[in-house]
Amino acid sequence: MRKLLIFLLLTASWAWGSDTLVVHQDSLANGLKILTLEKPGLPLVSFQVWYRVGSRNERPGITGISHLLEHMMFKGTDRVGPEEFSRIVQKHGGNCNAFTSEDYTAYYENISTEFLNIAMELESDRMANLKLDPAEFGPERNVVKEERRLRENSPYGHLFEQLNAAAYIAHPYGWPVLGWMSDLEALTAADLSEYYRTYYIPDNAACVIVGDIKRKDAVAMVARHFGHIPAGRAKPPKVTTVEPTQLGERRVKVVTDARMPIVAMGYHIPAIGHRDLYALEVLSNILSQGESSRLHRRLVYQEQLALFAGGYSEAQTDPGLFLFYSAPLDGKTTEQLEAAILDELGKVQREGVEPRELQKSKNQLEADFVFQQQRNNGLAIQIGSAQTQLDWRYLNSYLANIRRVTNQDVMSVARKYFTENNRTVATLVPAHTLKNKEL
Amino acid sequence: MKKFSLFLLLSSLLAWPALAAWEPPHPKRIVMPNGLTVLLLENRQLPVVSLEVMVKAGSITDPLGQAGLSNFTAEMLARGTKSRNALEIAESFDYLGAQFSVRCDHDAVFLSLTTLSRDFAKAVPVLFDLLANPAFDPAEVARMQGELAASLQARNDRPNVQSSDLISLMLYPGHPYAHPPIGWAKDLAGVTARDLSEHHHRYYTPNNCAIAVVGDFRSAEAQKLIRQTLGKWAKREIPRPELPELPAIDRSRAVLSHRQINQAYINLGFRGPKRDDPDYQAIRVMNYILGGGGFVSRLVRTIRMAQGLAYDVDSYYDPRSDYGPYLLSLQTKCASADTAIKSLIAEMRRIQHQPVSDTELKEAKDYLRGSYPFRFETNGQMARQFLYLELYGLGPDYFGRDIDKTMAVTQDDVMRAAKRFLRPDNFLLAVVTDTSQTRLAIPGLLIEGK
Repeated sequence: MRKLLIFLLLTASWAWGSDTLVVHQDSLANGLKILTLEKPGLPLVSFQVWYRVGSRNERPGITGISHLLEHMMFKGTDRVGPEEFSRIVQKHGGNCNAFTSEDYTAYYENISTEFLNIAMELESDRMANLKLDPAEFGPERNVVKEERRLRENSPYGHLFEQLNAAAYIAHPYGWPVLGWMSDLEALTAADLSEYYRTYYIPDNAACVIVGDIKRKDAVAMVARHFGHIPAGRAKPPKVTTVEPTQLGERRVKVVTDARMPIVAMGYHIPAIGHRDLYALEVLSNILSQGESSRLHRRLVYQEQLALFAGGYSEAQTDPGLFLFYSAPLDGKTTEQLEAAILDELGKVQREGVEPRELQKSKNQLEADFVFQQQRNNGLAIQIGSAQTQLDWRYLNSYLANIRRVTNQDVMSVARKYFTENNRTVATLVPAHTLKNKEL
Repeated sequence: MKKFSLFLLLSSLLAWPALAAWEPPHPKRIVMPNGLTVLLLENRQLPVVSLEVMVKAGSITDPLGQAGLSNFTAEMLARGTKSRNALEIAESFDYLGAQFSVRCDHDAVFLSLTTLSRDFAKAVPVLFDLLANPAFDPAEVARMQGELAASLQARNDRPNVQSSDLISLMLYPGHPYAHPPIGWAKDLAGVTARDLSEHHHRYYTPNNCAIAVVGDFRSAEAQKLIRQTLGKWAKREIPRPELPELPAIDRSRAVLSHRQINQAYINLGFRGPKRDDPDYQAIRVMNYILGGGGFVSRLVRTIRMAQGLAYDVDSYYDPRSDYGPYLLSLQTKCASADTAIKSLIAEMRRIQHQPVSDTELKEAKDYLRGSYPFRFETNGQMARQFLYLELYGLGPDYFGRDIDKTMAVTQDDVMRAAKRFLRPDNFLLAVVTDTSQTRLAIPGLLIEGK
């Protein structure tokens, strides 16, 4: 019998729709963290399990293993047959799925609160007892290979994949979460089993529960279902690779059977939690949130160069990229788009932004923060990803940090990160525009 | 050792709120003297309000030879009114951090607005202005024409979209459902500001619209706001679009379209019933078991899990005012297309000729009932649900009736629906693939290359 210890770590006062979320953090003796948010209303709950493992934990030769393991998590334990998992959830009116990113792998059940125990029982079972049957592995690997082909037939998917591969020469963010095809071919059920034992341990996971629940009952229920799972024998290995400073612009071309060219640019930016990211986020909105944003207004509306033009910053566990993308209208070129985007970035670097734009961007980020509180699932994803990438408390200082951003901050981050040497440019080139039409 | 009591824990001990006690929400419904229907539901959980407008002016109202006119008209609403230009409109929503969008569907156009409650009264008059007073300035029309042409081109770079466009074209010759709401490039090029303005005049009338407001607002204030801004909007007679008779599909036909890609994008389809068909609930239960139920569906079990042939495979019936499409869709590596299509056909036959099991039936119905509250999670979702009832004239007590009728579906109903609506012997098939790697050997299938 294992002794159960529950620590109450944090409480705060709160009102719906305000700047902060009242999340309670508890944890079990085996290291499993529990984050709950009571949201009365519909009798529904989102239950999620977040593992701190993604493609950043991989190495060449096993790329795609995190995502493939996510698929295999639905393939059964001794108690629950292959794909019975979804059947059990759905017959209780719920839905379930999972997703894998560079930084995390997350599993969720959205279900009527009265069946929360079922979601927990299923998740605890596969945290401890996944079967990884080689007979199930073969067909599932083929499914993932189809998913990979699907990506290759999407112009955007293909382009961003190649952009990342060029922007990173050392760090795992350079390879796709889906993995490279030859690695998918080479992986075995035994590889997955070792990976599972290393990372799917309670001390590398967090349960997030958002909905019409009472924290005390929900935490006790987690303890009942997950308390017996032993902590990992070892801490998962740390990701130690640091991407070296980029020393000059990199350019790649992707030639495909598409009609419309696209240009994408990536600039290295710091990891989540770095203070510069708030100014970058504010700037991201000024440049591309809504039809009145700078890039849309100029490239799409006024100069009619592009079908779309935008950008966003990706806050990740390790330093990520600020990405821009745009596609030219007929008769216009990606060079024109690139020049126009760079000109807009130059303006911000030299002149900064208008006070009204700064306020607009803050209004948008504030409204989005409240809008996202409408859905249990979306709210739980925010909490889970913040917790897995950094710490969930990050969310509760987020708006305050955004409000502090000044015009000077925006100018200074634009100057610091949007430099030529820090830039990777990827262009999707339709094969029919090349002289020798080889594909 | 911990004893496992999988799925047997007594949840009632914990006093969680039970699903059985949940009732679908009922909005307050008002019809104004000019015929405008208004649906209101106050919900103070968050300081957020959603307002949705539905205009029965979807692509079904596109005249022959003007595919995309309805969508073009809808897209022009935010591009200038008699008193505000396009940038002013964008700025007024963006500054408040409001979410605003316009979507033209087959049967209706939807305008969606979500704001913080403190901004609601500032954003709504702008929305009503563009609904009732769009300017259709020729320079703005030309600009939009360029954007739409480029969107169509980008669309064609996605083989899954290409395949679904192709099946629509095959299913609906001469009918407005033949084209996607965005329309066809050749038709859009000829549209003038005058065409748009006339289309707007014809269909954008208060008696052809419904507005739903859900969230943190006061009903009395919203009614006053609506009366002040839209009360003088004049009622007009609305023309009913004349729809052609569709020819019967009397044999199976396929069109293969070549692309240099490594997967075949497959849509197998036929025409389903109209939205008002009495077998609607039986079809939904049948389709859940066949291919609509995600990981529990038969198509996913045979094609994805057992054979590893596809990442996505499903069947889908899109109910519309006229005969909506019923599609079985998947993508698989080019060489597997034949095997996968044969599985689709075999699964249609199986559900037509063998009764579904008691468990399958029960679990399908339990899912459809149990998942109902998920349709009402956000203010915007609720508003759209209410407008859906208005669009198809389903009546205010529909949700409860829908649940009851779903729970009453029997094995015989499922088989009858399968026999009535599935067409394993006379379907249409659209395949976008590398044709050099795809060989189809399906008995009775006529292949027309492209």
